Amino acid sequence: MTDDADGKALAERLRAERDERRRLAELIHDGPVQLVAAIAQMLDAAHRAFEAGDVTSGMTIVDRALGVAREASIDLREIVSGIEPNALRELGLAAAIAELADRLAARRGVTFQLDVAGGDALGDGAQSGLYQIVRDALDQAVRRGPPTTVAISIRPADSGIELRVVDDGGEERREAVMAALADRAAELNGTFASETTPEGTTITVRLPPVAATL
Amino acid sequence: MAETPEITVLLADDHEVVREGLRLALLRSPSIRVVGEAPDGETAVALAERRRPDVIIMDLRMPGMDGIEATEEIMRLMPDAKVLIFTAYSERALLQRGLESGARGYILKEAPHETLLRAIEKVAAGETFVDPALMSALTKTRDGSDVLTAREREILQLLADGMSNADVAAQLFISQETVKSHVRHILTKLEADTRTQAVAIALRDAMID
Repeated sequence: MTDDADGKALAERLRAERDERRRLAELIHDGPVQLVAAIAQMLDAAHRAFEAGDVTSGMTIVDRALGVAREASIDLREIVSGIEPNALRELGLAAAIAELADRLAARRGVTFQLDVAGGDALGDGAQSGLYQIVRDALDQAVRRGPPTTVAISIRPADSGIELRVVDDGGEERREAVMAALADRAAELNGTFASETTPEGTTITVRLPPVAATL
Repeated sequence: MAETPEITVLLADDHEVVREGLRLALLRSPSIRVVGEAPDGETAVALAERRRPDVIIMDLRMPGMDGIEATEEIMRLMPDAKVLIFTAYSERALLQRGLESGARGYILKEAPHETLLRAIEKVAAGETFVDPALMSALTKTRDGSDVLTAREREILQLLADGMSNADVAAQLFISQETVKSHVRHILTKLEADTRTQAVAIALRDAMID
């Protein structure tokens, strides 16, 4: 019985690690890899413009390539801080979510309503798990939505705790991403629900009292 | 080859910035004209049917219908269409799937400009083209050992870089007959392995003149 439970927990952890590796590979492939390839193409174009004596076009293309290079740099930094945010370890879940929200607000113009102070009372495992769920839910919302407003709350519910991420991005979300979020909730012994309407998507994760202290 | 007729191309990539870079790079080439852009596989198929470009430059990973599926669909609808896969993936399995889907060329997104132009011209002319940067990875078996000898690999790389048999012979101080004999061995070895068969078929056109 215990062996079974241990085996199941191990299998879930391995799957979570695999999902995390896939997520990183996708993020890097979709972001910096494409941007750097585009920069190479643009510099090729600029080189040929200069070669032909067309300095004005050359400069315009170089400026554009510089802009894309800066975008790639920001992308990489975001991926790095998303892997293991310092804020989560040092300041707790509420600060880590606030930092994530600040970044998206600055870069994508999303307005956030946060009520997440309740997250700091959770155990390390629950904080880290919920952070990943929030991060991936926001990532998907921004990719698919894109929302103008997102509300994130962590509140007591049914003697456990409830995380809600509500956004107003109207587009369908990728099923695989939603399934991965549900897996993460299951790893925390929690339940997961998501609902997408033309008005946006609501994600609800409930953790029982025992899981919240993990 | 004396005349350089215009080659029309369609760009299919879900990243707008990649299409922009490619468009800027190709704009400077008098013989190439971009006649359309598609952000996904479905649009690529529809535009290919409508505009009949000489070459369709196709990303592999796109939302909805991906580049492999789109290539298969294009080949089904227009068996004469020429697809050049343009991707950031260098894994052999994907190269093989790409070629099996009917694409005539496979090139990495960071390929130097000259390689890109050569790939477009070769594919437009009905030949096949595999990015030279992929050659060494292609001849490795799954356990990491190389199916080719060091000399064979050297020759393969020179040919992949665009040298003729005569150029290779001159560079290596061997006869053209010796080069051809090496090429025959290379093909035999690659074709003997099911995992490299598609690559071998792609290389055959490119290497034997």
